[in-house]
Amino acid sequence: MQSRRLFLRNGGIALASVGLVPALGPAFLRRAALGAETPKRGKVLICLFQRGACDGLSMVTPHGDPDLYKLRSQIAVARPKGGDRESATLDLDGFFGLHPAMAALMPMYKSGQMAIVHAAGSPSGTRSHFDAQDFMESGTPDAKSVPDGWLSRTAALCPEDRANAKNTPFKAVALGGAMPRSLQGDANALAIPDLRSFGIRDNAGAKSGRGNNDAAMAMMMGGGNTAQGGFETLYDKAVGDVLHGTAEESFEAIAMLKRLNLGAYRPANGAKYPGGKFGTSLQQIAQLVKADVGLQVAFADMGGWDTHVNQGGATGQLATRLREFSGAIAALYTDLGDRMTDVTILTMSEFGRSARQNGGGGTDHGHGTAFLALGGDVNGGKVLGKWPGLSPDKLYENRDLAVTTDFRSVFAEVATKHLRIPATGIPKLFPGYTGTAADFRGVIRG
Amino acid sequence: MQFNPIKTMRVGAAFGVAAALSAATFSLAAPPKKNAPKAKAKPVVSAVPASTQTGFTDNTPLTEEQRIVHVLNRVGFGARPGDVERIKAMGLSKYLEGQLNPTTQMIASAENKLSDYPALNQSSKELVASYYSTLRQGVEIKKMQGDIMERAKAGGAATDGMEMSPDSTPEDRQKAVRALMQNATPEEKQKLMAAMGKRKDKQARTDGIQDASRALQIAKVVRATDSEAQLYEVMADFWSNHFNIDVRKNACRVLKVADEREVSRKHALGTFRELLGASAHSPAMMVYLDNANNVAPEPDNPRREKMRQAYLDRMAKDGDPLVQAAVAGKRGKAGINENYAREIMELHTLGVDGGYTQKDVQEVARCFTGWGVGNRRVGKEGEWVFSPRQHDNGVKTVLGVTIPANGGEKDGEMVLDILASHPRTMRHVSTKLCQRLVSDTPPESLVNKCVATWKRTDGNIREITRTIVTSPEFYSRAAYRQKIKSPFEYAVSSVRAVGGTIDLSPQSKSRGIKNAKFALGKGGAIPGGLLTRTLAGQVTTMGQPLYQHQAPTGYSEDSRKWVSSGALVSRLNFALGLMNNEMVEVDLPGAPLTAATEPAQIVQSVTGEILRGDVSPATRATLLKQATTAVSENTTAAGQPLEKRLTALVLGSPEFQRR
Repeated sequence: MQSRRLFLRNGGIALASVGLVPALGPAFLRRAALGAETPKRGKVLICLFQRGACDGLSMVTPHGDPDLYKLRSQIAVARPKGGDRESATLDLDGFFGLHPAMAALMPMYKSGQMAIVHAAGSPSGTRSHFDAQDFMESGTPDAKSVPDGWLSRTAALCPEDRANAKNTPFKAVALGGAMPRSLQGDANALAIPDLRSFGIRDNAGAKSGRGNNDAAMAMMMGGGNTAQGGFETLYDKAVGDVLHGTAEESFEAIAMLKRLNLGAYRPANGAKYPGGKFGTSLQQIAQLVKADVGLQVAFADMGGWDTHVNQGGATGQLATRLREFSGAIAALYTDLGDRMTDVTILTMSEFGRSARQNGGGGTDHGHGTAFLALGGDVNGGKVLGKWPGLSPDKLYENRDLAVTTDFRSVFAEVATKHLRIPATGIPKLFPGYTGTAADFRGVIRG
Repeated sequence: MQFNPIKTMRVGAAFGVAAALSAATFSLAAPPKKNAPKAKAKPVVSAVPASTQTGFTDNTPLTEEQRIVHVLNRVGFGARPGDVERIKAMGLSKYLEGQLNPTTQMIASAENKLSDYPALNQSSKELVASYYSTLRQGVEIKKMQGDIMERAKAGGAATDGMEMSPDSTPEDRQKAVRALMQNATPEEKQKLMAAMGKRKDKQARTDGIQDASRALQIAKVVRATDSEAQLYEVMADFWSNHFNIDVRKNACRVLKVADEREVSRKHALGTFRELLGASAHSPAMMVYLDNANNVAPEPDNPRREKMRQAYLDRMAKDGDPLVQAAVAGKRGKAGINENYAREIMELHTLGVDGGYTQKDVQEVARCFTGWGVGNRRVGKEGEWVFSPRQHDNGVKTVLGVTIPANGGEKDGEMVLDILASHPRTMRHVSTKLCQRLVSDTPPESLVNKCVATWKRTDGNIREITRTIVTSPEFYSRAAYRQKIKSPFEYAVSSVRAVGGTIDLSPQSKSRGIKNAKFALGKGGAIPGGLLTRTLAGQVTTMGQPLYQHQAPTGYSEDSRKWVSSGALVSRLNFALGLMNNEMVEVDLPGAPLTAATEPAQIVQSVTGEILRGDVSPATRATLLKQATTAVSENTTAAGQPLEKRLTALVLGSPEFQRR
């Protein structure tokens, strides 16, 4: 019952202490706090990477900073206007506002389940997407030859006594594409473009028809004599070979996914994922979380943030991306329901964009940006970090939002306080990083 | 002042024009893994392949046939049907001698298939020119898209469906283009059509980035599969990985084409000093490891800085967003960039424990200041240049050697001399080479022999390779089938083993599409897109996207890193897909291996041909059972269908994962 106990300590009681339980808390928190059965579960971290450098100044607009509107006369999202939820920013705390296209996340912010860290980013000054993504994913700014990713090291350091800590093939999973740099390493992560197509694809075996060699080939494979069966036997018999164990894991993973009956999945609580790859990836992450296959870290990414031209303001190109991004996150949050108690969703981007708009109605490569964190462990309802200001003397190199929160302090806080990796592990997670718990911004409660 | 090519690849990808590389995003890769997973109450797990545990003790000498198979697997991409017999007839040492001294003809044997890829012969300057023109087109289209949407919005039309992103599905992309078309002027329509590749006339969009990326990948596959100069191709591949460049970084997308030709291929069997020098003079390497930005810091000079800022301001007003973006990246102060200096020592020469200090890194970086890539202003866009004004001309000390002041370009050459002949370099590079060619844990005795040859021949790679392939360590039982194939080795050796050939004609493409589509039934999309049905796409899916290793380390030569569950599933799928004739550019032989129809005979001939008899009794029994069950349940399957089926199983077997 460890996870429930921890939850009660870190989440439930914290809520109770501010009078949110049971009357105002979300239903699932209420249930958990009142002692409803919570199965033994592990903590999960879901990392979402906005590739291409997301404009933090539009995503979470510092409408209280007068310099913003001087720098961005055309593209800054307007100051909050009472009931206007479409063309003005949605006020968060009197100084910051959420982009109106991200309204789907407002309930999470208001219920204290979403925090924002602003002016976050990398100490590296690079404005190369390639290098900055590399550094953020390896967790080692300006040090290139670290071969593995920070999430892989995180997965490897996750405490073993957690629920589902058995040798699961689904401990660390990247959905939607290739193995990201973040998960490269010894954690034996899986990169799956789409869960529905993970398995032995025996196209010849699936065909039927006459007068066709392949079809004949397929027909002979009836009666359980399938290609997968053949491979399984081959590897099962290869005892003593290092490939034997790997194959066993592979076939186990395939079998587990088959049992999940992915095709029949219906999101819970009326959650509706937006169409497109990103939404699909998040839905499949939700499926893995709910299936209790031992998932500890998951990763997905979304592109299209490199808005050099015609970025738009409350509407337009960036707004469309933000709508899809936030819509997918909101759906994931809603779909996971009370599982969010044990889940933290963390968003990141390699750097922000220039504080000034450029001649093409867009923004160029910048420095600081904003990260979002959602979940039961998150110290939400706040915009965290130190605001550096946008006056000319405060801008980084006279052009970009300065970085006041090292991304590693956010990652380290989530890894230690949410995933419960001992703080002594921080130097292993981020080689060369000298920060400690004292540098945490308070993203995670407790 | 140099222009840093910015990454606007996404612009292109939004229109599906840079598809060759974006195919890499559909991968089913799994990461390398160090140790064998814990076996549940199973006998001791060892790294020794099951096949060698049958009847051989560890020091039984290899048979003549096994020695030949070993050579074909280690200094080649596996045996083709008939190879073993051919080498047996001519004698192994004669074959090896020919491989160590490949003729131009042998090297060119695969090139006739590559004549449709002119990018392969382009200079860095030509490649970069097409890179920029492609990017400009992309930016233009993107801008046009914005204009159309603005207009539509002003007219009260909905613009929601007009957005495209790299993540858009093909359907969404099509929808967006249709929506854009409805609101476009005739001129815009024409441009959009061209951008989508719909126009068949000469005005169709030229995509230099896609051309170069495709050429690079296809050439690698064709050469490894078809070339007679197998040892040469293995070495070229080794050096290309040793001096790793990820093409996804800026202009490396195109510049890697020239790097491949002028560095790893040109000097594959030359001297290490020449090879290292070629890499240091490669524009792609200068961009990839940031030496193009390695500039001696200037003393505070307000006048100069003012001029610089004024220049940047002027450029920022340029109507070309590409120029604007490039300028934006240049606002920061120029200075020393240590990246290349560090990696040339840590990775290319001395090794991570090579005994150099941070001070050495700084000093080497100073020596390389001014080594970089030319720009348009000096008329040398994309070419390697030395810029004397960016060079630090002070005295330096590198690994205890003093480099006198005012050496200019010679400073860097001196560093290359010092590094190329350093004992640590000899040991580090020799060890890595032995890892590739002999064993994940190469015997010290062999590394010592390589170092001795290195000293004797001044780093002659041909002679070092000869030392390896004539050593008893190379032919030891412990080395035989010890290495797990990399995905690239696995894919290429599979095609070779079944006698497949590469066919790049348009007909071959349609056949691949047809088979893959048919296999998935009506309306079935090809998972991951058509490009995953190419060999390069499959290699990506198996976890080794070609020319896309982000860290400068390159792929590990320790083959145990390739053992992972997701990747293994992809290997099995590849075996099935290949034998189902789904690979776009692979032609399978029409005739069966054997005329036999008896299951046992077919098993015998398939394992004999593909595994050369190195098959465990367990594997043989499994194959036989699969075959007899199949035949007893449906006799029509005997013959070639059964043979193909069994071949797929053999290609997927544990034995064939090794080389």
